Amino acid sequence: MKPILLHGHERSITQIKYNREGDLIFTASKDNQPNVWYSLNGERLGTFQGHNGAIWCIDVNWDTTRVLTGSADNTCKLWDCETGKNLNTLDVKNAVRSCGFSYSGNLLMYTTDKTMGHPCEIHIFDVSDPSQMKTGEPCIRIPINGPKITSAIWGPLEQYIVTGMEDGEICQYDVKTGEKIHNVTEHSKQINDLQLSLDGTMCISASKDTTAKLFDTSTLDHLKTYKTERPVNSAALSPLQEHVVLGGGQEAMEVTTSSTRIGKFDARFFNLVFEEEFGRVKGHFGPINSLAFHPDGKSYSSGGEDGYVRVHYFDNEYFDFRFEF
Amino acid sequence: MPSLADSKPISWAEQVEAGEDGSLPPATEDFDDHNNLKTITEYKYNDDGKMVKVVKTYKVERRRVPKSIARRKNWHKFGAAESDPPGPNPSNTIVQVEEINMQIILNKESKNQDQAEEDPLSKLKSQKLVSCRICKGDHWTTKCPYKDTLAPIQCPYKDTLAPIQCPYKDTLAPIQDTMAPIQCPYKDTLAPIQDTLAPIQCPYKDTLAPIQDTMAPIQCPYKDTLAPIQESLEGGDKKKQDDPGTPVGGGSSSTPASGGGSKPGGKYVPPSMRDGASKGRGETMKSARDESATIRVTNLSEDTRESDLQELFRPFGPIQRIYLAKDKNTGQSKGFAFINFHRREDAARAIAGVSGFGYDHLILNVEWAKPSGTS
Repeated sequence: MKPILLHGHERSITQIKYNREGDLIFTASKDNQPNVWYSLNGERLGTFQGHNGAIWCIDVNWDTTRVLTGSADNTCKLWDCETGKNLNTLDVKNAVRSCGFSYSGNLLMYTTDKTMGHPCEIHIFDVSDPSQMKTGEPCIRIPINGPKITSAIWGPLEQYIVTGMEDGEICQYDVKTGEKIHNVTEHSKQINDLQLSLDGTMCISASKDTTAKLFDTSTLDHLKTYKTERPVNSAALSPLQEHVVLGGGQEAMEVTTSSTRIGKFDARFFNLVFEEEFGRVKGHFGPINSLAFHPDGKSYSSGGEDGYVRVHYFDNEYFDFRFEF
Repeated sequence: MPSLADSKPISWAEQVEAGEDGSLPPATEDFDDHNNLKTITEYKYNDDGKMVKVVKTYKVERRRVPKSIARRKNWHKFGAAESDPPGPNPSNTIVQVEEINMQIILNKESKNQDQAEEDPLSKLKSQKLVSCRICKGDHWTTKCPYKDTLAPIQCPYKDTLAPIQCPYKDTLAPIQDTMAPIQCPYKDTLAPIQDTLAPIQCPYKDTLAPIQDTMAPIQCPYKDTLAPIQESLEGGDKKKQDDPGTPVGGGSSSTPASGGGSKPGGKYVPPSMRDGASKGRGETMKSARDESATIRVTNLSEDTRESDLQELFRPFGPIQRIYLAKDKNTGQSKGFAFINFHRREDAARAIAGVSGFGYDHLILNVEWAKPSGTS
């Protein structure tokens, strides 16, 4: 396959997401301009201009009309996807680490960092209520005691939010009451990424403890473990096949202090059920920070510390491959 | 619907080129409906100023997409991409030329193999990278656990005993080896010997005798070989001990005639009679120099002089020639020297003995010299 390289960012990529149909890719990086691209040919549709800090997270709603970005400049911004105009700016006390639209797109949530004396919190807004969006006062505010949230996603049916903590714990918070419903401590280090499967029944966590784990979204039962030897920054579930892709590598700050071997920044494909690695794709020359499968499962994208987003369309070889067991 | 097929060259370099010279024929675009092929013909000047015709052929693909996607395809670009023409901007979107394939990992064995290859450090672990100068162990000299115990024992022996007892060094050396591991109980008794030997270099009778005494209890296998030394010394005169001219009484001594006659104070031995010159008479000066017994000393300090080198290497055996590289103007050492020994064994011992030796705040590096033809 010949990947398409998207070079619209000047700094490392923090998160990439496809929209529901998969024709657009949204990319956020540590520079202050989130980008949106056509996934088919890598053409850049536009940039969202207005942030003043690193963008930690990006999400798009169900019908690709709104885009949500959370930034280290202590704001969370809502954008019109068609024109790239900033619709609302939600001022926060801290950097916004993780954000997302609920499935309906009517609710949005973001989580804040625990810095400068302010606690880590989950804020939930009703997008359809203009007064909320104007004042920046969330309708639900869930304070988190303990380690901060490093990754958060909506559960299916908008009942709860699944969060990954800095100490490796994964929790479920009820949206209405703000109570912690479940929590599991399967990981020993920070959760870098959480992603849902296509139907939302399973979620996969990527952790700095060099593993990715599969959980039942509703009960948080631990199902599978995918082991590597490097910190895992992102993991995604294929919507088409029983495949998992893991991306990671050493932290940028540690690259110079250890093995001289180049590479190790491959995207690694595992069988979902047997937890065995069956393929690798090279390309990035830095750790992969974010991975996303196209909703049709025939392509995937990876964004790396090197600032590039690489869009890969799978060869027939991939579809012909059958795991031997 | 934007696609790769719509791409036009819009990099600034090409725009500038196109604007510079209006005489270029305009680009043409043909569309072959039958085969869905689009052909774009362009003209430009290459680096040599010659006009080049560029024909690009694209295969146009039509896809059926949901309405929502089709609608989004017609959105106007915004933000930093606002001024981009339709199609991917080559400055932001690069289609990688080389093909990359997913490496398929078939079984666990290959995976394990891969892991073994991946860690170059593990391979190196089996090899001996560093060698301790004190115990020859696999660590740096400064990390040697015997640094404080063995080092002081070995070093003074080498420096003081070896030069004096030169002809018998080969026979004495094993004693050192046997003593060292048993934490030499005679260290204390031997030490004073050295002190007395080193400065005077002469009264062997009084000082060597205790060696014999101390050796006796450990059933010294060299007792027999040492005895003649004493005899010869007792019966001998005040000659330097390393004088090879004296035939030593004990036949057990393996190298009775070693050492060079060139030593100051030694009895003169004609060059033709010396060991290194055993090839016969009438040789030219050049061939008389035995290249095989030449060592190269590097990492010398600038203040080093030939006399220093002579002092340093004389203990190992007769030296034929010392060449110290000097700066023509300042006369200071350039940091390396060649020492021609008469015998290759002496040279080998010198390498073993002095390499890594600290001298004038520097650590000497001694190795075999390459034949002069190549240098």
